[in-house]
Amino acid sequence: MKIVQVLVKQEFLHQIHSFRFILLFVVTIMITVLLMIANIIDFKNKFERYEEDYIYSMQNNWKTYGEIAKTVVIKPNIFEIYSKGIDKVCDRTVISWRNLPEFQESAQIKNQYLDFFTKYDISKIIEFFLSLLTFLLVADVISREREWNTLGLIYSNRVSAMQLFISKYIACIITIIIPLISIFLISTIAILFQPFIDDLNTILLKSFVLFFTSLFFISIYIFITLSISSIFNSSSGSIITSLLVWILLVIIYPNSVRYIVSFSVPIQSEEQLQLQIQQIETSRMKIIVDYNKEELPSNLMHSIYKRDYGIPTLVGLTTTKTILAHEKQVEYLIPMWLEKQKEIQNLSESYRSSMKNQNKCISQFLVINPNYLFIKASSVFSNTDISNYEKLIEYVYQYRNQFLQYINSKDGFGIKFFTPLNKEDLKDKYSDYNEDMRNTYANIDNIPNLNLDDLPDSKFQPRNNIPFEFFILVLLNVLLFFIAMILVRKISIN
Amino acid sequence: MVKQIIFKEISILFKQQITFIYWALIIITFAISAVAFLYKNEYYIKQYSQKTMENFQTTQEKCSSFSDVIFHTQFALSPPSSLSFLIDNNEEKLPNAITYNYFVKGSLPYFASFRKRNDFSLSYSPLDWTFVIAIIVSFFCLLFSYSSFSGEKVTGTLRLTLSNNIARWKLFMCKYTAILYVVFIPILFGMIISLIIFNTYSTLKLDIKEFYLLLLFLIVTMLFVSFNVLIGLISSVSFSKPILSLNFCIIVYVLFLAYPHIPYLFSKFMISPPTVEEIVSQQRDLLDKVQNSEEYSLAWSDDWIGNPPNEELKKRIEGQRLFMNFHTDLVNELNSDFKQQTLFTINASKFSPYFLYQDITHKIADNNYCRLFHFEEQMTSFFSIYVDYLNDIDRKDPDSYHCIWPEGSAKYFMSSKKIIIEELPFFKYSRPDIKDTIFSFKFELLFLVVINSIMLLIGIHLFNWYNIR
Repeated sequence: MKIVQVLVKQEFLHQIHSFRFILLFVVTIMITVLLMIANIIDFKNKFERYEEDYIYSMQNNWKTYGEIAKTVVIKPNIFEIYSKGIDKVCDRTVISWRNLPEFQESAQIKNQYLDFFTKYDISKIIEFFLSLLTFLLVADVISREREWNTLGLIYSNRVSAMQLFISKYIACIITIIIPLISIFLISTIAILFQPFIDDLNTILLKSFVLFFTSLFFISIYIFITLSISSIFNSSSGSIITSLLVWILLVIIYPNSVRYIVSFSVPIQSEEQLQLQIQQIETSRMKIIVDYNKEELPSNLMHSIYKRDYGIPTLVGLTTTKTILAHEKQVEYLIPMWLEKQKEIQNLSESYRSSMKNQNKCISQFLVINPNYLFIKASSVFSNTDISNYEKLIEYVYQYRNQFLQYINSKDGFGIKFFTPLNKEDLKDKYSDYNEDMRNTYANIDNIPNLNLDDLPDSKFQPRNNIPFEFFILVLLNVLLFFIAMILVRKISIN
Repeated sequence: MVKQIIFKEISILFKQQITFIYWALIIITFAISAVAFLYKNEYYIKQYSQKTMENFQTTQEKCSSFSDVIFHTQFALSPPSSLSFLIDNNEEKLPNAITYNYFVKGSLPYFASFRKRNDFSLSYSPLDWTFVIAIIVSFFCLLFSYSSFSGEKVTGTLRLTLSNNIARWKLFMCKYTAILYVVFIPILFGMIISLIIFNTYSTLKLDIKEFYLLLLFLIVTMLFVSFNVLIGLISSVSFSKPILSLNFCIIVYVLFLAYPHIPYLFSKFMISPPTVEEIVSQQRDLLDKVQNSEEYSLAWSDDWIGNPPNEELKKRIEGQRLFMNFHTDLVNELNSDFKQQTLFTINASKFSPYFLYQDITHKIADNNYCRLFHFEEQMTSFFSIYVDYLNDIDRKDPDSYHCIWPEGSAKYFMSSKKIIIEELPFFKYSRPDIKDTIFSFKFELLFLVVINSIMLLIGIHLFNWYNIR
């Protein structure tokens, strides 16, 4: 056991004093610091916008149920700094009868000219730089001993091949943990010092989990590289082979798979979807226009009249005839409107599922690629992957259903949809209303706001899952350990 | 003697397994890239022709009179670049159309892409020619050259070679030429295979102008490859052990690859376009201004239909005009911010030769942001031609009231004069000619030539002082 300790110490000291370790370590730390500065500023801006949006979303200045447009603001996710995940941005959405709650962006309009740059985050630094550092550091640990003829010297100390392998593995993992810990320390400390952080425990826990995911990922590469190193006689040979494996696993294979799948598994174009939605919207508008033309009496009287898509949302003091005509209009048009929205919802869902199918195909090809597993697991832990987006969409649709049920329970799809007046207060002639009624309901500023205290509140809590990819990462480690154990028996002096 | 050494170096390189791996990898990747391009290009071309035809047909169907044309929104499309196999760079994520009518020209960032993009997928680098050369070939250049001198020094063959009374600079040049040859031949093979695939299975036919551009690409690639070989050779003569030169090469490679992402990270903060929130609040202020002013109005009356405009209507027209001007200014401001942001990032990233090479390829292929810039410029001049043309027709028609605002019902106020759609100007994108293309990257090309010459001189100088014992 003591000899293993000595070997670990000797290898560790050799590694941390090497020129490549120092240089790549400095480069990695510099890039992490720069990345954190940029990402923290970006997140701060996002958070400020969120706070403004949140205050705005709490305002209630609606006079009728038809007017309500409740903004649901999604709190920015700090773990985007660790893993940006999918491109789709989920900032906020509006809950109303008018539109489906698809997500909108309140941030800067994206500069699409620059879309070809890779969006860097902590997981990308680990995936790219730290994996390369691993390959460079580990590639010659056994072949170097053979090249310098020190392997014989080690074996003369009654060290078994397995002990040698384990000591080298431990030394390498300790060496790589130094930059890995530095990356996580820099990022976690930078996050914790920000005033917008409220849930300290979750951040620490997730950083911990992400650190271990990174460690399992790096460990896979240590096993691969150590196995390569045990086969070669020269340092250069093992380094070159390791670098070839690195370029294949990190650059060529994942990019080729994504590129090939992107054209071989078709997805719908955004424009096609918009076109189909537009067709439904046109047919919907035609029904409204036809109804308003043919069914709505022409001599209606309005002191205040607001419409959305031809459907009244605010009608001030007016005659019974006008109110009843609009009531009939709302009772006919709103169910049709909601029915057509279901068709649009189905289209959007099939658009999303075509993209999900493409992703599924990519994941099938990349299921044993450590980089894919690591990035995927990191994005699931960070709640930035597609499953989180799906949960968000599911949540806002559920919330909208609750909202519609709420309006329904308040008789909001009747006359309350468009007027604050009660049926019993209605008069056949405008002149029959008293002065008080005229002052209140004929002037938009005097109409009281709706009391929405019992409107269900929106609170999305992302659920934390342990990704399936994490288990494959662990499994790969175990598998590679056994393969390495078989290979290690063949470590000979020559 | 020089020839013999070159042949010897080439034969040594050919005996190495890595050369076989490199040749196979490059040729296979070029072939995959060609097949992938075929699929993508066929789809893009089909989409482009279909959409252009649809646009024309819809205009023909919907516009029977002059006023119909005035209010009809068309779109101008940017065709796919025939040389996009050189560099693709997530082309499907970029917009490729601009909407326009008489009143307003839309902006690029607002238009949904006709292309298929998966927002739920993680980003990737497409396997185009530039990716193969900038990422894979450059990596192999370093692997081929890092031990040219330090490796031979360790084995003692360097002393043996120099004992043949050959000048050191000649030996340096021999090694440089041999590596360049071994690296460049599979690239040529790959390119030829790709071109054969295009010619056999695709509707894509390259014209003579495009062949000249390919030649230009080849020259730039040669300079880029030479730069990488020289990095390897310089590191080889700077260190006594091959392992040290290999480490140095890999670190340089990683730095050059990673550097361009740093200006990108900070570009958002250097030039900051307005947020959606700010735009919405400006729009709200404008609405307040229009609603609370005597000069403007947004009120509508059905009584106006079919009658000459009165004072109230003119107020409405002024109100509408304010919104139109706001939109136009906003689009211009956003576009100018985006362009500045893009140019800042691209210019700052050019310190990395890898990005410099990508940038030149973008210009040669006229793809990605280069094409968007050209498209935007050409569209701006086309739009003024389009507006002038309609104004001309309007002036010739005494029945037209010249009152124009973008509303469906407003067509009642315009001339009902028939118009021949075929005579309407339609947008057609034309790529810059070769002279302009070369002119657009003259400094970058000059930089590559100069840096190659300087590095060659440095390499020779260092080798002259290199201790071979």
